[in-house]
Amino acid sequence: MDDIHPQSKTLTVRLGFYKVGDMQFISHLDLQRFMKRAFVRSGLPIWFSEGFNPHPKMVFSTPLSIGIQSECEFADTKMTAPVTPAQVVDALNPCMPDTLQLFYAAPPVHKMTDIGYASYDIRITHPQSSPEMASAMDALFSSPLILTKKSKAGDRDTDITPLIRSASTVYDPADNTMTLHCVLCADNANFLNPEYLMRGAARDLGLTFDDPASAWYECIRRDLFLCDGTTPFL
Amino acid sequence: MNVGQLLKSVSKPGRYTGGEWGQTVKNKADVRCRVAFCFPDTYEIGMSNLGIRLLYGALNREPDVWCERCFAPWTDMEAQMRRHSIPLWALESGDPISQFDIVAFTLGYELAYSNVLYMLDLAKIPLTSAARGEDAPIVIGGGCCTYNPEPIADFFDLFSIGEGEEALVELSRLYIEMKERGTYTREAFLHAAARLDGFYVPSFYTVSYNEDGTIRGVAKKYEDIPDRITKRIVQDLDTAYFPKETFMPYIDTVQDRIMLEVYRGCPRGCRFCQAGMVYRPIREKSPEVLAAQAKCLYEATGYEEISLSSLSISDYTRLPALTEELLAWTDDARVSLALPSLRADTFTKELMERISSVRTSTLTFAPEAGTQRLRDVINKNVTEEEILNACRVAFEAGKNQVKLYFMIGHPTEVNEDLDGIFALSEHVIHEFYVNKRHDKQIGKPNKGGVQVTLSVAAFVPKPHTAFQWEKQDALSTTLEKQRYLREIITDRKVRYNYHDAQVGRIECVFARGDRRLCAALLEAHRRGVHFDAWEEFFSYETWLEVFDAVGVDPDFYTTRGFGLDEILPWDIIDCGVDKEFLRRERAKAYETKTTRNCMEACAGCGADKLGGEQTWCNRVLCKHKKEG
Repeated sequence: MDDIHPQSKTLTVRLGFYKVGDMQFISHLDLQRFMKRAFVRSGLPIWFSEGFNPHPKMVFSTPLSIGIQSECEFADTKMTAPVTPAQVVDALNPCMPDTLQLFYAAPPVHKMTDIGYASYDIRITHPQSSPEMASAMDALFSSPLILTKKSKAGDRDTDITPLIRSASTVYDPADNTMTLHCVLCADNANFLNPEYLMRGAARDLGLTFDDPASAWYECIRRDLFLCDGTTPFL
Repeated sequence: MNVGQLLKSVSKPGRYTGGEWGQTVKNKADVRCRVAFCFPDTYEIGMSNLGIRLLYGALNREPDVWCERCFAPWTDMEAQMRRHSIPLWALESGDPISQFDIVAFTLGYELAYSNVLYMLDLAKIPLTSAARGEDAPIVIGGGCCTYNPEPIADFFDLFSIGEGEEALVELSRLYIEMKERGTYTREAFLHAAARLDGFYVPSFYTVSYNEDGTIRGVAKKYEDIPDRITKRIVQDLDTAYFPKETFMPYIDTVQDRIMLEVYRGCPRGCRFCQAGMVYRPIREKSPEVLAAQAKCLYEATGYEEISLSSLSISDYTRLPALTEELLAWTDDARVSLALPSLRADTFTKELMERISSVRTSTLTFAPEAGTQRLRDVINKNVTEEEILNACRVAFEAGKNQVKLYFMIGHPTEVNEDLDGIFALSEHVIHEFYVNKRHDKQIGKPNKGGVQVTLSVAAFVPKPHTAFQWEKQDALSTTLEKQRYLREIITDRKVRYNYHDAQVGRIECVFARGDRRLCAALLEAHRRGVHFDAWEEFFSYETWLEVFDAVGVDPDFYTTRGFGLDEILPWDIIDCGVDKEFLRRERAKAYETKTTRNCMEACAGCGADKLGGEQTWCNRVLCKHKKEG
């Protein structure tokens, strides 16, 4: 396999990895610290920043809330010597748990800012799941849905539906669950956290909860797309 | 409902998942003794504890022993566990700790005692030793609090006194052996354990009291168990077990770095300091061994910082050799060295240069008292000149913040000593401005002004120290001294922090208490007391009500002082240092006489009877023999 940018002094490598199972509970900041140490253990020629507090630099793609799994995370890092993608994957994966593994390493194709959309599967285990509830959910996300969005600038009531590219719910009678597949805006300016959809559903669909804090859905990010909503980000 | 589902509804779920890099998972079919190592505080604090890492590794080295970790769940998780009837589990397997063979608590501070009961309760393990049936786990305690285990005696089947690396392995081997031979019963096991070195079975000793509340005597249940339990030590730290890998938390914890224990013990002999007595004799590790262990841990973890930990790191006799060995590779690997326990009298420019990679702008020194007279009383053996010299070195290197630790309430303290705390701070500030001129000349001016932070704790007379018989100041006196200091500190460059005096009083009761305090802990638990070490949960009023309810007078343990001939609750424990030595030290304190440190002369503390390799005892005693 070809070396990544064999001529330049530092080489940027884009890592694609999944973050599933218990790793969903680890924040981006904590993940960054863990991966830096994994790099050191791997013996890869990781590049360190200059200065008083040298550290390996990593740039992550899109935010991912604690409690959401992902099959499609990306981070860029730099190497000081030529390495092949296979070498990166082979060296790093044994230094990380099964729930955090690389599926990909290559020179970046797109810019991080080219990311436009992310797709998610949300599996809803609420006992009130039904074919009718699945239809009601689809209807909910196709008409205006006003929710209070929290941001640095303060709380704001917004219609989130313009940020939903598509949303469709399938009811599975085998285990009485519903799965919502959705494609949501994920660019810098218009990032929609999939948990807003569940907040809207909890409020407007007449679902009842014994314990408001209990978990009633699982969410996993499946893909990242460019602004056309179909080209995979690489 | 399972643990995985609870995780979405609590803060910081990373505390409860387990699965950290470097954790040990075993096949249950191969395991004959399961140990739950419990830390009675949060995950973040427990995971920063060096002792857990050592003991976890030492036990898991045994192929048929599996040691797992367990921490106190925060109150939001507690609510979920109680709601869904989920008992406390161990992180590695997720199994309830009530199913384990041994449940071991490490006890580092008295205010965590309420959390021991909290965790036993969450685990659905009977709280008292007397209430535990044949199938219940053996509950054992260890750590520095067990040098006076009496206030928690009812809740533990067994205490491991002293260093645990070898003792706990021996105990688990005994357990396995008795189980396999079919000779195990709770009583038989505890009896056999009580005959091993360094194990204390409190239920085998009955304490009787005089009418005035002091202890009359202690009666043994079996003839063949010791009158006093002598603590265990590891003889040779060079060859002692040291983990080659260690678990690494995913979430942010208090200390997340390589902790390299350079030596055990402390040669100084400060008269208020318990650690300085109970970890004797001093045993050093060789620089070569330390350097190799550091390298090994670095490769296994990828940590970016190595902390050289010991009670007084600059007293390590081969520090230059060690730092040289480490700096040979740490700079290239971008690993920084931290030396957290510097003494002002041995802090030099050379040392400062060696740790140039220290990133913080703060240096911390502990004068402990404001005047030379009082520093002599407590045998701190550091002069104002030495403190100012150390600060000068720090300022010259571009630091502009100094933290000074003091204690108020030492025996013989008068207002002049309190004035001295502020005076010393002012002298440090003066030293900074003298240096600032100098900095301008070399073109490296310190930005902004100087900040001296005073951290002022209240004295607690601790067991096994020269001050173990002393009184603690009454709460009103401590509050008055704190108010006085607040008034005299008029310089805005001095930041004044002080510890909660109410916390100090409760800590004192449990540090010096006897078995009658078990009733108080049980009552406090009944009233929902837990996370006492956390400001937001500590309630002084509740504790006063509890003491009142069970008929305990806190003053009996605090302001009364203990008689020199009185049987002390902790006399059952022999930490190696003679009571007679402590009496001599106490007398010298009142004569304002200092005692030289172990490196200069042997003061005859008695801890040399425990042996040990690379000790000061051997060197100094040999020298004395040659001279004498």
